[in-house]
Amino acid sequence: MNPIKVNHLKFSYDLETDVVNDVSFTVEKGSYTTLIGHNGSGKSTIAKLLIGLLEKGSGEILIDDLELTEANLDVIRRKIGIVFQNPDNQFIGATVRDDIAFGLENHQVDPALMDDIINNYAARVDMSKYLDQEPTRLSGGQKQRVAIAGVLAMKPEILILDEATSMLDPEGKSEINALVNALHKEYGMTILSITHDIEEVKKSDHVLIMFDGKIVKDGLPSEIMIDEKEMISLKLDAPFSVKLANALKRRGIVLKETLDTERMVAELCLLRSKK
Amino acid sequence: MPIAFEKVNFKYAPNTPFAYEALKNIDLAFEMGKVTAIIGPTGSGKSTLVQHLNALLLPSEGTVLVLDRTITNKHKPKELKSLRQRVGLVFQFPEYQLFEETILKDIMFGPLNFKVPEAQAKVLAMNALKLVGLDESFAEKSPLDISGGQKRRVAIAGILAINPDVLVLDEPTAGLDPQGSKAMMELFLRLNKENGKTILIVTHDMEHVINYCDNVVVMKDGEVINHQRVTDYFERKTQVEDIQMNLPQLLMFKEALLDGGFEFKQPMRYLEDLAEAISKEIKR
Repeated sequence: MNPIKVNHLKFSYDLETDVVNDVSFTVEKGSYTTLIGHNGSGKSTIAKLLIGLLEKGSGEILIDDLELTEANLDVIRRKIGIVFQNPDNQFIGATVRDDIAFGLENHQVDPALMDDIINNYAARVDMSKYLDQEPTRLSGGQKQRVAIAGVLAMKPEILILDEATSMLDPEGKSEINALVNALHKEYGMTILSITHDIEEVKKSDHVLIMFDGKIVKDGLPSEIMIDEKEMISLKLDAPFSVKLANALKRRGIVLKETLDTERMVAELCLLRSKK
Repeated sequence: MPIAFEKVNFKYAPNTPFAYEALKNIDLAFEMGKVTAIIGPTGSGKSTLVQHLNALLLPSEGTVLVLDRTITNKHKPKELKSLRQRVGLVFQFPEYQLFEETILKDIMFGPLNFKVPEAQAKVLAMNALKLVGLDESFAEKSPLDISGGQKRRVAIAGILAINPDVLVLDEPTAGLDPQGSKAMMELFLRLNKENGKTILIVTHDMEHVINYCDNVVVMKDGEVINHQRVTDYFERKTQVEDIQMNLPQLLMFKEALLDGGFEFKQPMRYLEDLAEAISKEIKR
């Protein structure tokens, strides 16, 4: 059973151009998958299709082998949580507590249980102290942590991050990355992260690259991210380590490792001591 | 003509229980005709500082000198309108402020606001559109129908159309894809090199600081704690670690290689410098 399986998916906003053009991919259970691509390549549209915020043109979306249709939208939305880019656009409640409660109320959770659930998930994202504060007063990183707590309280098996850290400062970014990594490692949650952060892609299990509405690459970061020319032609950028390895190659130094920084440094130090 | 802060303090909500001192005793002179990065943790006062440059905020105490204008607490913003034509300020996520029916009208808004005749405003707007890398076909489109990265360009074109001498940008590349972000930084560099504009950029991206900026101003807790040439700033990694910023990738690599026995003496800034230094030492 795959948490996400998409077959020949198509979508168009204006019935003319296919923003998502015959896209097929699979996200494996418990994997950390990254989805990258230039601005306007269709990444966010895919996220919205997966949770039924947009209705597909044609093709098939299967979540845990269950086809996403109007009839089972509710069941599927319990399986998938999503955190969007802009921390200011996803708050409803007047306090952090109300905001987490909102989702629970929607899912008809017994009010007697609600406080415990809220306290538990606020603690998990390290926001217990802020439960009675207004969300507007929090920093960007704190807001995204509250958004994640609200999503986790639904106990989804799959977490989709739609550029969830791109509006945050470095501190906020590392807060969220650490939290997401813990959710992935400790709870085995399946993560699909739409991102521009090449360092995040390097560390992921699997990478999907979109270009003009199509998935053009689907595989291991260690196989895909090492092709500098290809990355540039897809309007992306290669990791620094890959660019450095290529600059060294032009100088006659060919390395076995070109992606992992630590291994590259070790290889270079060995070369130096051997001479 | 300078852009300088002399003993500037700024308090939000003075004389209330919420009073908060966002800038403390700032003495700072930006180098004209250069690209300067302003960095520092969230809440360190970066945005407050740059909002003084076109008198959106007036200093609580002290003096801000901007070109031929002297700004103190006593000036009314009305007297300072001409200043805003010479110092263009681009806020964070400026694309949220696009509002006209067409992209052309949106970009023309600035020049028209400064009483430029309509025909000339149109020429300025079309030039600005080209400058940010969008072709003529965009002029009659609605700003709502284009991608996020394109909206950002349109918003910046709106400021370029008023042809300011000084361009102040608050995190101009946040949320853009790697190539969009690179193209944006190259645009600012070109405006600096070819049009002689002074560029001030508030950023969290140390890769941009090392690759594109001449000078760096470091802020912490409302104070300027450092103001140096970029090449000098990155010579000592502790300076960067002190403000909890990530080292640029190049310096992380360099430090790891130094720890592993490499002996680099020369300063380095670009990827090619590092590749050259490594190659020299391995082949020596």
